[in-house]
Amino acid sequence: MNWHPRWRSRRRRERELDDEVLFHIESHTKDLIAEGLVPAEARRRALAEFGGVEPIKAQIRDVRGMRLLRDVAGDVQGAVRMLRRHSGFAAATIGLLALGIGVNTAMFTALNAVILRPLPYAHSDRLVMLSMAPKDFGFDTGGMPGEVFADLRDADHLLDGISAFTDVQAALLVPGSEPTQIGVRLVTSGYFAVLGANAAQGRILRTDEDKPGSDMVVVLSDALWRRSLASRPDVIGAYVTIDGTLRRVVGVMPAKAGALLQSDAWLPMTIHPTVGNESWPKVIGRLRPGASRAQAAAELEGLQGPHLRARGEDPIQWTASVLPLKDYVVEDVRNSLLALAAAVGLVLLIVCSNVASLFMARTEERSRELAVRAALGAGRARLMRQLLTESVVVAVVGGALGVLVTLAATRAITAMAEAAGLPLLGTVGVDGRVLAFAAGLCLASALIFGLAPAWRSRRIVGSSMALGRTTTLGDSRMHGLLIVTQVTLSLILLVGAGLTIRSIRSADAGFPTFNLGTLTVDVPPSSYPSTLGLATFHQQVLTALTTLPGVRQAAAVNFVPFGNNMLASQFALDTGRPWPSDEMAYNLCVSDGYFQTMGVRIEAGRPFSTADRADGGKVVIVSASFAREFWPNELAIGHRLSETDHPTDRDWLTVVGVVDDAKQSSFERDIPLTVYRPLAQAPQRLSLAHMTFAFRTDGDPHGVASSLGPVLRNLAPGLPVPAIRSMDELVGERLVSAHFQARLLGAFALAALALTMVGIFGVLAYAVSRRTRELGVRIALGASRAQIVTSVLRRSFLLAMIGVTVGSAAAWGLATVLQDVLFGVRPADPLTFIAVAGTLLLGAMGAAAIPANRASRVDPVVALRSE
Amino acid sequence: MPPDKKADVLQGTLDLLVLKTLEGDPLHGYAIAQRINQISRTLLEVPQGSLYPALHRLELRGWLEAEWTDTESGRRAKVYRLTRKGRGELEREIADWRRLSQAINWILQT
Repeated sequence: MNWHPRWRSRRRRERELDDEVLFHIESHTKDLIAEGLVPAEARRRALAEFGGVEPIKAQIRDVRGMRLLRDVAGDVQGAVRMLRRHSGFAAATIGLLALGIGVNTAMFTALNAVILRPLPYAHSDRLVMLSMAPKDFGFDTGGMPGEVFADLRDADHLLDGISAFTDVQAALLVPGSEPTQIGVRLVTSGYFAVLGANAAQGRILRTDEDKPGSDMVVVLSDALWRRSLASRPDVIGAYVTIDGTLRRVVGVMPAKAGALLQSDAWLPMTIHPTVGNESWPKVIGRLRPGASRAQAAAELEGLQGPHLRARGEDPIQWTASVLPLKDYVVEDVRNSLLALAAAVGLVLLIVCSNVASLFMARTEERSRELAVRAALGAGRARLMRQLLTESVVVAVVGGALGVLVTLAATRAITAMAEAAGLPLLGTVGVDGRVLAFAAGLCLASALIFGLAPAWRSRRIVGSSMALGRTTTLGDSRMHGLLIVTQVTLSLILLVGAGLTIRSIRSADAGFPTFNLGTLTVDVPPSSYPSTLGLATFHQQVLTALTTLPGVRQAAAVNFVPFGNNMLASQFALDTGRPWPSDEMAYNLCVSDGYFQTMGVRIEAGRPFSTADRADGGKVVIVSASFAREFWPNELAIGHRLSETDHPTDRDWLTVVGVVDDAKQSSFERDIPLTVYRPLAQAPQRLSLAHMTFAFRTDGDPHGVASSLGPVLRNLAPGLPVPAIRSMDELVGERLVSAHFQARLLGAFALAALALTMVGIFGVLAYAVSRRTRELGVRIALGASRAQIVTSVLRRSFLLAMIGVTVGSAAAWGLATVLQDVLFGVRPADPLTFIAVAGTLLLGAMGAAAIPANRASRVDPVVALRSE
Repeated sequence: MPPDKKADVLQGTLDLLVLKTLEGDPLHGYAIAQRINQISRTLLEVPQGSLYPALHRLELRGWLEAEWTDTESGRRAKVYRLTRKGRGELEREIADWRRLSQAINWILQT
């Protein structure tokens, strides 16, 4: 029966406590009635003379050490009462925490989705990308030649599955509609099996379907099925034409399939084990349980040797790499997400220090009450615990609201990231880990801001006789420290945001991007079997474009700046100087009129002309950086370079012009070295199948679309009419993740600034209210209002100044981390630092204005009487 | 909660008054409060409830012992009784008080 003797005895003692108190009050009531009072009045008097029943009971419990549960319940009740009495304080603290915790958890959710589990496949930690590359190439996701892949596939013991893939553009023709251009991934049959992905309808590719003869099949993406086939239910078994070949649809993949299933369609690809294939497919594999990446790399290294020798390469110069597939997927966004996570962490720190100073101010205001309670016998531990309970209650309520904020913020961040084209894949859900993270933050912040005041309350209790109003030096030091911390953290954030924004502002392509349209035409190999036919077709398109109304000039280029593809090569130089092994130069073929159309200035020499024909002298134009790097202090014109390692006379290309540097691929990590060749002298057919036409227009380049369609359809019936993309759009896409980052960082920095101003305001307002008496004395002694205002402002300015100094040093160090994602601005950009420091100092002054004004309006008579 | 000067006075002397009150028969809390009120109405206008923490404290120190008995009204009441240890404490406190008031009297008379 006695399961819980302690609990029973506690209950019994509680009951006895009630009985004893009740007996007193009832006896007293009875006596008062006997004295002639009406019963209701008698009871009221008895209660009043007894004093507060609950406080008395609490004191008795204190005496008897009946603590634990009862006290905790009492503490929570007390805390809730206190918070309700001071609803402004409670609302501010809870609101601050909800925001801090919510935004942090949302950010963690995004990080979780992108970095921690971007591949929604089973055992995705075993997925790897296998590549081979020359040592010091600095590029380890380049794939491998087909014959090495075939060898690896047949000989391997360490991989459960392996697949090669290549991305191409293709024309899709569905009976009854216009041809459209789609992004196709050519894959060997094991592709889906390696990932562990299955079709939503139909099936994935069968093992034998990457062999010639059985490969006339296609797997569609959910998006393409909806878009181009109108979600028709009988899609499995239907036929579509891709690049002129009739293919049977065997499967449709699910929506949001994952990072490596983003193409419009998947076609089987045959890898010939003997033919040296010049375009290297990328290769993914799934490690056997227990096999390591190092083992797989060693295996590949052993295998590639003979193949390299057969290609005339020295295997010693080559290396094999096996990377986690995740690294390949999140490569581009990891840095910016980590930067954002750090930013959010800083905001949370500011929130915590703000909450801490709110709590400290509250505790000091209550020091009188606490001292009285200590004098009346409340234990020190009890007081400390009550203060802690208050902060835990605030943290729990703030945390609960934080979860709501999380849900909203996660949705907002996901939407922003999706708009930015960042690979937030699979289900971005708030999972157990995220909740644990939120709970951890909640507890940590409760401890951080709960302990500071609780620790202070010990001193208050220790000097329980100090019932008067005093401000110790320690108080203002602690508050000052909090202000300095906040200013420091805000400065770091503002500098980060400022640099990112400046960087986007100063993004300069090297040519005017407005009123410039591009049109990319991918011609299936079957349509124009001969190079000449293809060139003629391109010329026809170019001529047609030039004659369209609204078009001033047009030119052709095989890889347009900021398009999705770019070719980079190494060259041999006529000076005999070896090409630096870690550098590449963009290698473009352009029509005459290209530089004029793009607006790239000719620095020296001449542009290409119609005289630069296939059978003429081979010529090139190089970028200014190229000329400076390889022929410093001399004229580049007349020098020669070659694409082959050991050029014969026919292989040399003569420099006829130097043009200004122009960005080709990205703003942040672009190579300034570029070599332009005349389209007519393009080395191989490969460089021509993918052609972009750039054209200058009088107005919006999209305005040309309506007149362009019929012309193109006339020139090449059956070819999809590609959409016109303006250069501004292409550039915008490159900047979209930078914009995303800048927008988020900017928002966080503004939040930090606002929070810091609130913090400064709070601390100063509190200090002024504490110093009312001192201010009254000073005013009474003849201090002018201006002097009082100055003294308050000076304190704010000094604290902000310390924060700015410390923060600048920290930001200076941290900004170099941002170097990789910045362009057109140095991490130590003085303008950003000065602007940010100025903003913060102004903010500190602004926040101090109201308290300063209040201080100057202290009425000495009232102030002196108030004590 | 404003500090109560009278409560401060009480803090030191309440223990003495309670012990003295219980020198005779055992009493329940209400009766002790009544007795103290009658004797010193003007001096100690404190909430009667303040008595109870003191009673429990003295009980814990072993100066008082308590038991639950039925009263004439039929209700159960907690009745406090002075222990031997409590009697010794009372004598010591009375002696202390006498010395103190003697000293104060001398000071006031000079």
